[in-house]
Amino acid sequence: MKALFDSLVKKTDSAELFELDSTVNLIIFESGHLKNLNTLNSKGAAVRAVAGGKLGQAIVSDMRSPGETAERIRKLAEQGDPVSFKFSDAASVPTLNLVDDRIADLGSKEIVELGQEAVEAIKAYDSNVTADFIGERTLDRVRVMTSRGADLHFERLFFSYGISAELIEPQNILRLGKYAKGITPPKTPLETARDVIRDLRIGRNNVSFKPGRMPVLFAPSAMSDVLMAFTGSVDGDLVAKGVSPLSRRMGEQLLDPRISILDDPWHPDGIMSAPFDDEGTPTFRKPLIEKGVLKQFMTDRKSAAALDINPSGNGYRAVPFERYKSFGVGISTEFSNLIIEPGQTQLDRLRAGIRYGIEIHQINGILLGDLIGGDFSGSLEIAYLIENGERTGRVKNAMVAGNFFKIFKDQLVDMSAEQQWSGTFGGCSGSLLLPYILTDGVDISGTD
Amino acid sequence: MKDRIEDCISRFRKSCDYLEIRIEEFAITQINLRGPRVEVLQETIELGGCARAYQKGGIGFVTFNDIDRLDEFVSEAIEQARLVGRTRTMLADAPVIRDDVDADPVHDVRAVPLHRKLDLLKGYNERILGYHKHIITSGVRYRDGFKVIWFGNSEGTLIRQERMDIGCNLSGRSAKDGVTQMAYTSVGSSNDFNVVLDLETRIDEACETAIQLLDAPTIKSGKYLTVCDPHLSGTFVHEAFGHSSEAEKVYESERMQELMKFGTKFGSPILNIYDSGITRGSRGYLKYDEEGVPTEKTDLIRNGILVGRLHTRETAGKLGEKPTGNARAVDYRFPPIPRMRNTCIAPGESTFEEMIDGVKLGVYAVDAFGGQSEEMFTFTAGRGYMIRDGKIAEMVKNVTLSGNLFTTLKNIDLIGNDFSQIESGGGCGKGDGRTFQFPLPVGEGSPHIRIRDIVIGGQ
Repeated sequence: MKALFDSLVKKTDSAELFELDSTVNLIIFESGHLKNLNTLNSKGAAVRAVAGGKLGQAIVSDMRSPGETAERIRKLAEQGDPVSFKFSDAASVPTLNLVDDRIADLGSKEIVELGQEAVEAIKAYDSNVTADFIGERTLDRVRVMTSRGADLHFERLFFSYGISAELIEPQNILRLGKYAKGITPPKTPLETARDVIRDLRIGRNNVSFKPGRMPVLFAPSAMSDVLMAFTGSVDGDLVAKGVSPLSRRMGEQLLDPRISILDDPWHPDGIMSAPFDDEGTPTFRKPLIEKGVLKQFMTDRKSAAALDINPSGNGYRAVPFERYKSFGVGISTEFSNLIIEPGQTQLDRLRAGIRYGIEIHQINGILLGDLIGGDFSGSLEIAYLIENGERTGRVKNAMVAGNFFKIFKDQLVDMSAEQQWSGTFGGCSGSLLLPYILTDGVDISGTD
Repeated sequence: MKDRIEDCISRFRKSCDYLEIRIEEFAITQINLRGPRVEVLQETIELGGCARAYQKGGIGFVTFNDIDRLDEFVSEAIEQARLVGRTRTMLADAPVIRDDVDADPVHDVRAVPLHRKLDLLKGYNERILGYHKHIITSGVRYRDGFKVIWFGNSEGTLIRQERMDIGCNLSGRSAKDGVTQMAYTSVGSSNDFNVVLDLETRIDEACETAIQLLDAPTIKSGKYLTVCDPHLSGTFVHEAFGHSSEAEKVYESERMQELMKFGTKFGSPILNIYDSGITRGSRGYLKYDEEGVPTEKTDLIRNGILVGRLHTRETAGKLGEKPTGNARAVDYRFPPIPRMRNTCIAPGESTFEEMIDGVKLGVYAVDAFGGQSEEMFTFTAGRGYMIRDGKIAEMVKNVTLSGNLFTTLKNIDLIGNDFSQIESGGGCGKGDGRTFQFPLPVGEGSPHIRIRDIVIGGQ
């Protein structure tokens, strides 16, 4: 990898090389049985180079002829657009401890045992429910080198798992998934299995409901999806291009004053925590929304240059909509760990205050909407009817629609004191720490 | 590379029930333009591989970039499989194949120099931006790839296969009075660079749509009789049925087997659905899948009755069915899983006029932005037109259709005689977290179809 970098430095005006050497162990249970052990070794580089003042980029895992590859990249760059930003020259970055001994000691054997406990618990609840478990231990070794002198490294280790339970009956499929991830040990799979069972008890009972405007309690797993209607608007790239409706609204009260949204790349548990982003820009904690007021956009080096501000350390190479690094993916502006500050009311009390409403855990199809501008819609994959303060059953064949900047400005009722790590697509992808959020007057339409 | 794979397999074949090695070398060119700028100009130069072993039903799978350590990775995969295996490996029989498959393209993406691709796309981009004062930005996403895959297994199959793929999406985003809209056109192929040539008319049509949508009202949500154009019908069959045909959801679950039992009625007798790996030129074309199994045209629904599903050797083996050549992986980073190739609704007998004739109130839904599916599926049309008193009336926007696997197919009451093959850029995504595989090249085909009572979300 160094040979490619050295060759690039010689042949081009300036160069940046992001190197990822990662080892992922996957432990997969299917239908209650250990089925599959995987080791995903991945070693390669993403390169950007400037030649004749123009920018080109490459993904390289074939390291057999570095000189030839560097030459090819130089020729490519010559045909690019003029470069508008400079590569990082960071000499120092924050010190974060991203390798926890307790995760380091977690071998495949231990993860198999944890998975076994979880699937056994679900089988014991109901042998007709099939349980899947995926445990994952990921070690990323990241290095960013630039011709401007940056040579930065970090190592990050995290453990994550997902448990899903499937109940199939005539004309009814219920698939419930719950996930946990952390740089320090998250909640045990057995505890999560118990959460799954609790939701299965309620979710296996399908209930009909009256469509209309009603209170909606967004669980963190659904809120993660809904937040996509917000994060695009603070993406510096879309701001710089004037596509974001928030381009000229810095400092304005956009949301309810109880809402603060933080981008926190230093959180000791966040799986996206890192001392520098994938462009070698040092990271820092920052409010995007503070007490409802727009405070900051997220930028990579290119969008920061376009906005004439310092980059915020939000240039990442992560698989789209998933939150793991890959050298095969281009830089895009993304949040690190996104945190909504909690409220003060216990979740049970939040629910207890709802006479007739819906609690949404998983929305399907949110990406099909044109999310810029805050409009979102989707069908309810996992949602429960709340009647007189209690969840009474699963609501199917329903859709939710609304506008982020309306619902969370004028229709916020309260937020839970509890926060949960969650992620998009029902919680799967990780790196969002969110409370339950109760809103009123949200459109729920029936599709029956 | 073939020798290397064969040598390695011969050293390890006795240590497990089944072993396979797949090594891929590929180059991808990506060009993205947005607004006045080239956003991405990227080449991918990859070499990587994977080894998969089965032992007593257990699976070990190891991916790698360092080909020189092949033996080490193969041995790790076998060790993993042995740790897991407790029952019996049940892979459906597949023929032993020794073959060399050249891509044999009509027009090879590698023969076109980069500057020509760039000039072409820049021209399209300028055309979008200059189309109308209300077009505020453009999006051009081009991706071509050429891949060599070497595959060998412990049964003696050894294949070298070349594959070409090209896809391009061109979009215009319009804005007026705080309203923004988008429309796009898209092409794709597995054997012809020239599909990206001469797209001017299609670009103009997309831009015109983006402009017209600015003034179109949002559709009132509700249940409508809906006529879908071939593009949207293709997305519909992919989302609403194709994913449910992928056998991994069925093979481990007796309940799902009951639900998806062959002979079950899924639609009216006019409904025929198939998935084909042998449609030359389609992005879903492949001679052999990622397990070295020859592909075929697989009937899924014949005359409304479920007759087939999409298999890997393992899902076929466990269900006692025949492998269909649907074991696919996006690249060497992933094991093969059941995936669609080119999924189609076969043509029927109705004309478009018959479909709208006498319809008091309905929707004509056109083009597709994409879809997502579980038991419930959702897919979005590019635009819609109200059908009023048997005639196509005003344009409407935000046409998102949603339904349930078990009911919506039954609600298809007319199928057109105007089959179109749809090839687009992008691709299909499946799985989550580490198992998320995207973008897998697929094709779709369908005539116009009419669905009674489908829910459309709007306002």
